[in-house]
Amino acid sequence: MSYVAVKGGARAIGAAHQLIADTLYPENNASDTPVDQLHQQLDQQLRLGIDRIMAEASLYDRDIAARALLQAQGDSIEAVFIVRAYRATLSRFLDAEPLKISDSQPQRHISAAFKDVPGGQQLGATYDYSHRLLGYFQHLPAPQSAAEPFIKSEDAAAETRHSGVMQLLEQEGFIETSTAAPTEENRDITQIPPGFPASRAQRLQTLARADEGFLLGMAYSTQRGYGQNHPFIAELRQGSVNVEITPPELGFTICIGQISMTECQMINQFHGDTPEQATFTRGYGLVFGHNERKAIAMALLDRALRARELGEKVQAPAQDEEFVLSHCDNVEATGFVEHLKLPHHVDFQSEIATLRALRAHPKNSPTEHSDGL
Amino acid sequence: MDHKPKQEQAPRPRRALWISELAQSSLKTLQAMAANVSLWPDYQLLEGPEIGTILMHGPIAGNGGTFPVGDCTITRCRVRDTRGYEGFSWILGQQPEIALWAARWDALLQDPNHYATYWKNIDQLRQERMQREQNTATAMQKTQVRFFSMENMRT
Repeated sequence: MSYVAVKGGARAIGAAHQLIADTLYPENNASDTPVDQLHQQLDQQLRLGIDRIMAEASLYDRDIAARALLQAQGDSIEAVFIVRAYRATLSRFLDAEPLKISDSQPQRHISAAFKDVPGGQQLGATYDYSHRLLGYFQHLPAPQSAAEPFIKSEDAAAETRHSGVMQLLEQEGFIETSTAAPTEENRDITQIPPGFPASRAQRLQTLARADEGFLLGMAYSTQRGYGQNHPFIAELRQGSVNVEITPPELGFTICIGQISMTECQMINQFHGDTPEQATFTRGYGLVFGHNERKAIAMALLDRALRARELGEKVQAPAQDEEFVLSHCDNVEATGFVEHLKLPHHVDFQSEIATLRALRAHPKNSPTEHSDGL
Repeated sequence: MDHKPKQEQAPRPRRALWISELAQSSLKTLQAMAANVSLWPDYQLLEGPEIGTILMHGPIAGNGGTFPVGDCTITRCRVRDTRGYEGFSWILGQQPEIALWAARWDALLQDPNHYATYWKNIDQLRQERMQREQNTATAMQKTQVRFFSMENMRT
């Protein structure tokens, strides 16, 4: 049954919006913080919230994400919706050069698989090792004195460049190797909607802009046994990556700045037709901003969704690409789920009418009904 | 894609360096730097400043291909000054004022005389940027760690 549109209610809707505006920008605002400063403050102090909106909205712009989060009163899915709508008004000038993640300036670079990684394990700004106590960061002891040396990884002095752990595994032949040339189409799913089966590029693009909560739940399911998985994080990296473009007017490549990205390279269980051919397999996650949880979940799901490619049985929801890719977008999902709030008076009346009609004809007695079955 | 290998072989033109440094500067810096120029040539706006996006592509590790990660906002601008030099700018984010200044600087620096006079400004931008990056790297290096495995737990 289709939705029947309604009209009217303009005055009430206007008043409802005014209530929001009054909450957002009260007339007797005690703090008197100008709106622009509020955005900057949001960007600075709710940095990870802004990162999440940028990733799910698929638009890297901290200022727009902060404005959207404020307008949405902190509702991140609503903010993502606003940013997506705004993005749709902009024209796309060109395609940037592929990001060179391995050349990034890492703030955080850790490996759960190896103790000593090239460049050293670097924790960066993290609360991974903190107690989850309210006010914890307000009561930190004074920083260590400069005289006391920091414990550095052995390799760190020899090599400060954070090169890849995966290359080491590749050199030993323990991990499935790169195919030299791109074998799949890299088509933007926002321009050409993907069908099924989707290419790995299409799956990754869908996951990169998917809802973090959905990815987290699905990734968790693979760890609990719904889809075989035995993952190790080979590398988790967060840092600034150069943005390079080659404008046709210039004909040469220019670097125009950096964006923050999080990358997760996951090593998974063996695969191979014979024991000699057995290698680890890969899962890959790459998202805008500092978003480790999502990058890890994405890498787990990328691996799970490669089931068919690697000759595994597709049994669990996380391995079913039609299930995962069709339901992971929070703007699409919220559109359909929340549209139930809109007036469905006509639809519902038609169902009431049907029920009344059924009751009005006592011919449909229970006995006759069961006979019919 | 055809021109890319050639670009990688040839050293980047000087112009790529200054465009890059201008693109990464703040409006405040560009305005302060503009005061150093004794006589700004008149210019005509050919395009923009206009806000749009660029599509970012990320690698697919181990696959050799790439996938679209998402868009970045970008502001571009194109000017022509009275001596006929066309200046371009591409700035990350929504930065019409920066884009206009950067495009004017690009046109200015293409004049060899101006380049000789004002290159030091660009070089200063570069040094300041590298210092900022170094400061961040130093702060982050303080969090370098070596975890010890508790071997006794296994044996």
